[in-house]
Amino acid sequence: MTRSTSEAPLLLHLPGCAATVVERFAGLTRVVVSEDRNDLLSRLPEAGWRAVVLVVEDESDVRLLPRIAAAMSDGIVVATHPSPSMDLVLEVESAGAAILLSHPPDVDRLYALLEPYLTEHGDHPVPEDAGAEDRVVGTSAALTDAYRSVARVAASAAPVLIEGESGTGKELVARALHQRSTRSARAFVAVNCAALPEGLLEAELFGYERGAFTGAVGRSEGRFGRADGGTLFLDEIGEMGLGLQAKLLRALETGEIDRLGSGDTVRVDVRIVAATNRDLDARVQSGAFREDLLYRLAVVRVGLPPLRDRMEDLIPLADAFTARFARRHDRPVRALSKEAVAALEARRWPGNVRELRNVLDRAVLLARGGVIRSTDLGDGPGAPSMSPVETDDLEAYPATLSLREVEERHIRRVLMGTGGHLGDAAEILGIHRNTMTAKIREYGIDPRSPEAANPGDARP
Amino acid sequence: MPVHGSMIPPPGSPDTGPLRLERLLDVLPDSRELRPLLEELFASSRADPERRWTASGELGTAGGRLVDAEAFEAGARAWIEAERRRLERRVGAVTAVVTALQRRDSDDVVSALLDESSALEAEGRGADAERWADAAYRIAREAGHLRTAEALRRKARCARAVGALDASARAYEEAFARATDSECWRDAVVAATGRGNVAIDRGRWTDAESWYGRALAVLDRDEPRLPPEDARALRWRVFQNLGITHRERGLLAEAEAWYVRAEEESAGLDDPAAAIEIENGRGQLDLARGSARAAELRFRKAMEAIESDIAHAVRVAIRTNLGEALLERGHTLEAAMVLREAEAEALRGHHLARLPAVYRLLARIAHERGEDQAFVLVDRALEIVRSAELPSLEEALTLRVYAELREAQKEPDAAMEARARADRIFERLGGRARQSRADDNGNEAEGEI
Repeated sequence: MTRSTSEAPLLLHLPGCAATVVERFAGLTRVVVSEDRNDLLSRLPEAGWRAVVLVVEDESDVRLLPRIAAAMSDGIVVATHPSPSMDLVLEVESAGAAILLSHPPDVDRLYALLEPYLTEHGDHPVPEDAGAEDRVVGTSAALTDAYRSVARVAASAAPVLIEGESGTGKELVARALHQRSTRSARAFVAVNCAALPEGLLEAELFGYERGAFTGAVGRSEGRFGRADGGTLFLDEIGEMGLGLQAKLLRALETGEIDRLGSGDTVRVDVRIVAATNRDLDARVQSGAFREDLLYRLAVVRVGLPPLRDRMEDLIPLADAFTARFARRHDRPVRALSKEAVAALEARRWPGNVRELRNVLDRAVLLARGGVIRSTDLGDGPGAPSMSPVETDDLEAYPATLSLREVEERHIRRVLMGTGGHLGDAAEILGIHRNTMTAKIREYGIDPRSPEAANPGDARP
Repeated sequence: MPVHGSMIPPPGSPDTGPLRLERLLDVLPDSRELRPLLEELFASSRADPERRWTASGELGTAGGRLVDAEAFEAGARAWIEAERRRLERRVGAVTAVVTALQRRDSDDVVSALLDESSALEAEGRGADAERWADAAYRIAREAGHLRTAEALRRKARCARAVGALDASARAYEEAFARATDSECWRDAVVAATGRGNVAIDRGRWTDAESWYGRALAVLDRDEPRLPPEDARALRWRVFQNLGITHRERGLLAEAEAWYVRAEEESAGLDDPAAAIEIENGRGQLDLARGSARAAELRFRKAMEAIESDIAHAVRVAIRTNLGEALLERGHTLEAAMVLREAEAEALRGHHLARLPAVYRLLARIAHERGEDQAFVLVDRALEIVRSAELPSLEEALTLRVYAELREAQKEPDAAMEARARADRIFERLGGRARQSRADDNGNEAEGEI
């Protein structure tokens, strides 16, 4: 049920500091303060608590946590303790609390933590059967066209070239081609041409005899051999070197391969499906890819649209991934907030479906109370880590900083202390000067003004 | 691997993409002298941003990183400066030896030799450090010098660092005997602890425990032989290492007790390494118990507490352990992120020896995600093991993972051969060596203050 923000209440049992918290949250939501545990428990059945924050002072308090967590459908339970310890963190987490903070809690930190739970709700439920099968999801016109092509050519033996940006699901399409072909009973063998160094790629593709080269510890029939009678999927074929392209072309033209270290020629019957995120026509023009090989591979060309061109498929995909990862991680995630949906729709998705998959994999793990909120989606690389321990010993960093961000802040602080002197800073940090140089480049730190924000995108 | 096609495309030939480290390594000669510069190349390299969302990106290793000429040049200049300082220091060391010999002052000769050995060891030049320590030992032994045991101990540690475990064990044993005879109790404790650490490298847990017992026997005699704080600083490390051996033997409750004792013993000492290493050790104990969540928290706490004077390699080791804990919990995505951070840190910090452990775990992740080519990560790990001449145990652990992946790929020949090689190494090492845990390098402590 959708609620307005002002009706998403917060229940507190924080002796000695409740007033401060009430004041901080006053503009955001209704706050109810319980003076004792019994009062808190008596209020639990009232519907709609989004967040409960209570101090746990002894074992009996910890034993209350499961009851509290069970009484809240989409909310979060935050525990506090004067001296949080590792063992207590584990105990309260197992009992149902999302996080253990120091008591009294830092109010700004508490606000940042709770605000999504008080303002974002499970407006978008995930269908229960979403993601049940590992299949392509989407009904956009662009994707439908691609699948029409697949359906038309699947039954033939014609080579197919699948083109699309990274992460658009080219392997899924290749598998779909294989499954719908007359070769579906035989092997589907994939090889990523960019993942292997060229020498290793040749050996993997065509096989080798024992001792054919250093590292050839046993005989291998190669991917062509394993795919005999079936389908060989050559992913990222645009990365293949010219020398190997020539050998591949021969295999395609003659149906014969030579194993490394063997004088024999082997006949193979393989249907080739290739994929690339490169513009192979341009690479042919520049001479980096053989035109005759492209001609052989691209008897049929299937283009997969980038995710940003099929945004109508975004949410069904998100549902599918959410459901799949909720099952895999055994998390009761059932919905996304409308803010989370909006955040997903606002992204450009340079990594396409693979990036979406990763974002939701993470979000499912981070989500509390069964709902994925916008803050669970992260910002890409360097997204918040899941470090729930907060003690007074730590720096005053928000709980959601990643290790990388902690390191960057530390380096900036040290540099400020040394007046930008790299050598001194390296010595203080106990790192080699080369490492210092690499780190300030990586984080975009100007030693002359280390406190300044990153001037641009961090290097990958 | 054979290199195919032209190493250097002729002028006017098509641009086949950015220069990757593996291409450069194919071209450069395989020379020991080049190794420091190769490390600079690795440290200055960068990941290929175009591969971020590709399967090849997930399987990427150090060899696939892009050469950054500018960064390399900057790093190389710094290396030249460091080499110049090192040579100056070397000249200084030799001058000190010559001067001391002219004065017939064997004490100063030994000191000069040991100082240079220490400096080389700190630079990670274990083989050279061992040679200087060996020279110091010979002089000290001849002269009946008090520092004979210390020189031997240094020699032993350097030998262990380069994987010469037999030589290291012999040197530690002799160091212990001499130190005990000459009542150099600190040296005796450190030598016994070091000998125990060599036994851990070999997977001989009870042997390790007997040596740690000897270290404790020296420390715990009725008449204190060392100042209390020094004794505590040595004792917590022995307790920590006993935690490791008991853990490896599956005696988890006993291991826990040793870690608790290590924690108590180190409390109040001005030793930032203690909290981190004990937390890291307890994290590994949690992993052994199957409590991956608890392990994860401990590794995160250890990471957050790392201060500047903790060995860089320890940070890589803890990140690697955290990655393993996350993998055990099924959080493959975050595990991969943490392990890539470990990889980047190992490259930047010139700790290539740490990469095989990282790549083994990344390979497991890739395999769990259904990547048929996960073996390429382990293939690279094996290359690093061989080129960096890492200890045999590292090779054996890597071959085991390689065998599993090749088996999954339906390459039974390759799998069988790799497994056989691993088993031969384990046999040669003797005892039940560590099977699948991320290794404890950085977690064992020798008791050096």
